Amino acid sequence: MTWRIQGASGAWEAVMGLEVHAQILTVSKLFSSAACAFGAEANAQVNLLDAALPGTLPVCNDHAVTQAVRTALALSATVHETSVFERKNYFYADLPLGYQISQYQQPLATEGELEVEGEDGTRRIGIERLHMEQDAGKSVHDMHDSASFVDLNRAGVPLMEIVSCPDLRGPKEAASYLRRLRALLRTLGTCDGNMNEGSLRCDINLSVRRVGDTELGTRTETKNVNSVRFVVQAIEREAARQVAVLEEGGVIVQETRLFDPNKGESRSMRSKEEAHDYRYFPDPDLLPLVLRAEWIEQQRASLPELPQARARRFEETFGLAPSAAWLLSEEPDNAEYFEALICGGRDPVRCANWLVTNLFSALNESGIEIADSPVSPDELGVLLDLVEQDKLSGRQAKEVFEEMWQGGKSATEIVKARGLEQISDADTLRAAVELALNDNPEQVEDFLSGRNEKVAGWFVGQVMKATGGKANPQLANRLVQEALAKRKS
Amino acid sequence: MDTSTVKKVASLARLRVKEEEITTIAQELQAILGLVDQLAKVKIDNTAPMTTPSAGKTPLRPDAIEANASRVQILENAPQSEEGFFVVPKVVE
Repeated sequence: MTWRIQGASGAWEAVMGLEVHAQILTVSKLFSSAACAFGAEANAQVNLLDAALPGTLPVCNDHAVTQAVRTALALSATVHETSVFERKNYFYADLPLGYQISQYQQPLATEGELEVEGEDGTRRIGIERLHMEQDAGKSVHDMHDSASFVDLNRAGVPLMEIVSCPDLRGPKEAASYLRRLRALLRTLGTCDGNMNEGSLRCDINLSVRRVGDTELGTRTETKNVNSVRFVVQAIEREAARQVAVLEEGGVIVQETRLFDPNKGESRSMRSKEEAHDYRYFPDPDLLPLVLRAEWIEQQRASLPELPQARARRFEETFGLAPSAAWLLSEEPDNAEYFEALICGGRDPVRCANWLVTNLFSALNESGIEIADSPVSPDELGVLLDLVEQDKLSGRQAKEVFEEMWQGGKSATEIVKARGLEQISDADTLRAAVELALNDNPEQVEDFLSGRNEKVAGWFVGQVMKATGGKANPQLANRLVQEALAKRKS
Repeated sequence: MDTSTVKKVASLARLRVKEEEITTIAQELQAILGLVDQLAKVKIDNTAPMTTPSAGKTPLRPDAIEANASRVQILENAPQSEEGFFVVPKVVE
């Protein structure tokens, strides 16, 4: 159902595009050989070029180029054999050069797409462009009353800016776009997707118009929206704000707004207005970036299986439900775990259900990544095999799993120690059934005379009790029915 | 080229321009723009844009760490530094 904002005067729709800045996974910066690891001491990863000292020149990182090209190809974009680095000029204390080296008129790649799942079902969202640029440094404003503190560790870190077309129409769609883009980047290994550490940042361009209008309204840009949840929140708030302004007869000012995650609100950044005049021009320090067509094709041919293709394979080959297929494909580690679990010929649907309901909730609760799971796919496999062989009931398996989660013991050890193993041996159970029938002639008579046929269930209960709950309930039921039928004849 | 454009360009480039200089600068910039206009008349429809007069393509370097300055050296030239940070007048939105 298409997303609408209900105003006092009627229904409105929102038109949105996302600009995502993704830190390219490299060990060194885009144009200098300084490290770009997260969390270093302030200014400990700064080379002369990053501090803009005179006499230094930028030299482009070849791995950063490869990573950006692979991302563009995975987004089905056209990678251009020639692209140009330009200077984006503005003054700020954490930008020592006085310009950011970026790409403008001739970006690395254009015209890609990404499939999303939102309010209107499955839709393809256009990617206008993907280009490379350097990050700025970081200013810290709360360490002193009258001074700002500047750390240049981030200055020069390689980024890909991925700009969508204004194709998004609802918060769910935008959230799906961001989630799927992140999954794609992580699968490619071109960005770690860590939004808390600023490796993936999102700006939202949004305008509203009355349903049925074809012309675009004036848009605002909301910056600093750094989680999927905040994207939804920021869109809902900004769309409602714009509708309220317009319905009161006001006009939308084209402006940059800053999202405050603590308040869940955005506010205008007036000082940014004039800064929009960036006076781009080709950087005379850098020659054009030229890529060979064959090399681009080699990169395309060596792309890994992408999350969406993997989800489709899980659905088609293994018969998983779409939601489970996506959960298991989204993170490369999830897919790896799942495929390791089913590789011994275990039932994929049963395995998927177990992972989604039990393992994922255990991971969530303890805040552990699947790669660090205390229960390995092999160990979990042993447990699932016990269920498959009717040696454990589903409920018992969950208990065993909880103990395995605490670490140290295998499923088999726990089952033995607790004496949990289900009795599925027909001879053992038949003896227990006979005993129950012999001990309770009255109930047997009730059944045989047809007074109370439900008493069969009561006998199953007796067998369960006699075996300390270890009898396989299905087998016990069958044997009780057989034994009663025999006495009838 | 009017005087308000001169002021805007100067402010974007963080250049302090004296009031009495503005008219002269406007005339000089106008002359430069005249030259650009003349260049713009050249027919180049079938020519690829040239972003640099040098031939060739940008060289690439391997993705490896090679520090060429220590933290101390980087901060050495700063007028003020504290706890490893550069310290600048407060700039906040």
